[in-house]
Amino acid sequence: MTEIFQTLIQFLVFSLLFSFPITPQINNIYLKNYHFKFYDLICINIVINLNLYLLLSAFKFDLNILFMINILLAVSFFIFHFKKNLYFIIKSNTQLLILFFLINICFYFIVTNELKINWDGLVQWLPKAKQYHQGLGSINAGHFSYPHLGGFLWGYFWTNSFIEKEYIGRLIFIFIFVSSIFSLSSLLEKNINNIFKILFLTTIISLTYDKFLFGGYQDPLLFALLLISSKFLYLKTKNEKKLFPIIIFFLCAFICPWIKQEGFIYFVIMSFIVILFEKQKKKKIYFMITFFALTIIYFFLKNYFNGVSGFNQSINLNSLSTENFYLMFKIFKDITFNIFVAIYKYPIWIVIFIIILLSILNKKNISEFKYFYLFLILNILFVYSVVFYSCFNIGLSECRLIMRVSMDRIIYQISGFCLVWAIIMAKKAKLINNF
Amino acid sequence: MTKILNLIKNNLLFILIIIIFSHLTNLHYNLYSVYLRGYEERMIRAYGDCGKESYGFVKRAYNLTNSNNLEIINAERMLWPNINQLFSKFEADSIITNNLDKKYTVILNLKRINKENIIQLDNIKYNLKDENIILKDSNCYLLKND
Repeated sequence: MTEIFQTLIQFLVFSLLFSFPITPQINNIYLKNYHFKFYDLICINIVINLNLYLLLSAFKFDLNILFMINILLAVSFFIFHFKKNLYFIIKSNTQLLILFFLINICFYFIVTNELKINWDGLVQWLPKAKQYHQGLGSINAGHFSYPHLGGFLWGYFWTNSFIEKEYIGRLIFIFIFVSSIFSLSSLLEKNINNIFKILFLTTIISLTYDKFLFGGYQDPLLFALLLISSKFLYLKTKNEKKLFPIIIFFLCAFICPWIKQEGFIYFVIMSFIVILFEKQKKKKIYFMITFFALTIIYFFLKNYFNGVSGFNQSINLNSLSTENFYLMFKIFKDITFNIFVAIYKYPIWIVIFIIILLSILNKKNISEFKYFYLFLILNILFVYSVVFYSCFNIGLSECRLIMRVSMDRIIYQISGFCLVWAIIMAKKAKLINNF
Repeated sequence: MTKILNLIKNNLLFILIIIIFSHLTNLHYNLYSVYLRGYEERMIRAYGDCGKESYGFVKRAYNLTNSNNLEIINAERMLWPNINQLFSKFEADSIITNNLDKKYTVILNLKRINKENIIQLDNIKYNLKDENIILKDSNCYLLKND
């Protein structure tokens, strides 16, 4: 019974923690023009809090004290203007709110009952969480070049629970995943039927939820962060004159490299796209400065946390030669095959491709979705190049194993970014406007 | 009462969606199972007692030895990950491989043993003579190293 109580309480803890620092009242005063919904605020707060956690994870201190400060601040911010804050949440959409709670609870209890941490979760990511749970700070446990932020989150909530069981820490991944998908609801038209919204959200959640990945893997977290980045990139295109969406975009993109190594590539690609398509010269320069500053901070911090600035494989260009043409063809064939397997495994891609096809057939202005197309192309290039590079480094047989066990997860992560643009495409093509 | 009935009527579709979703995600069973079974029992169900990752046996080995970091060798290592991370404790400023308890070894899912009771795993020979075995449960062994 204690475990059931703890699991239920955890939802309240997450909701409270991530309603800070941008409370509904602060939103009403300063961010009114964006018409943010409750779930958007949660996502913004997730991004801000993750950046704070990243900085704090550099220091060694008692996680209980940090949690007490964190929760006290969140509660006091919420109690201040309590009525207005509560009114904002209740008036938003009661049915969606109930659904949000229920979906979280359904997924929490899957983890609570089954408990299993899967392979990489056990070997690579649990040590990262354990180092924080044991109060040792960042000792770079587990694989030395793997980032630690997901582990910090896991360890932080593991430590700060009544029952101090490891799985409580993993519930945060579910909360972030579900919140990010619920934030998509604000992309839908206001006059859309509520039942359609509910079916829409449950369908997307069913298509993107993978029980296996919540066994300690970091991929759902990266999926959610790409989704949030993508949404704020879209908001940036809608509000060219305003700064807030681009700030949240950069903050969110900056978090990606701290979840998994490939997150750095996503950070670079997303920043590149923003800089490339910016029309104003002055802004372009500001974005470039921001990107370079964040990259320098990233390598500086990476060096501080991991003791090295690089990644866990070095480039072996000597093995590239024309004699390897047949091998290259074989690798190319294998990658393509595995991409199709990943698309089949995560059917959200089938939905995305259908929407792209219908959007093209509808002859909608393709340039409007340049961010999406370029992101997709660059990421496919990234997948091919990173696997080619691994195959030349470690040999085809081991590389095949890597393709089989990890490529589907990369394809899954990318779908977070593409999902936002697919919904906008569907909206423009009037596929979801008549409900 | 009429108010409640109206509320249900107005939200019937929503209630149905909720029931279907909670059923598809096994919420009712999961709740029941968490209520019925303790944490340790669920862990053994997830990782096996002696078999798969062998949570139950490793837990007993840790309780018997009071060690902080046992060496665990799973003979089926291609099938199951090493479960040691669930039990071991880091010592400040050290990574797990550096502070392994050299006194004991846990061997899991061992299928074949020769007549001399000697097995070779990871290029290391282990003698499974009776005096070395502290705990044995079907294919799982807790050995005292020579």
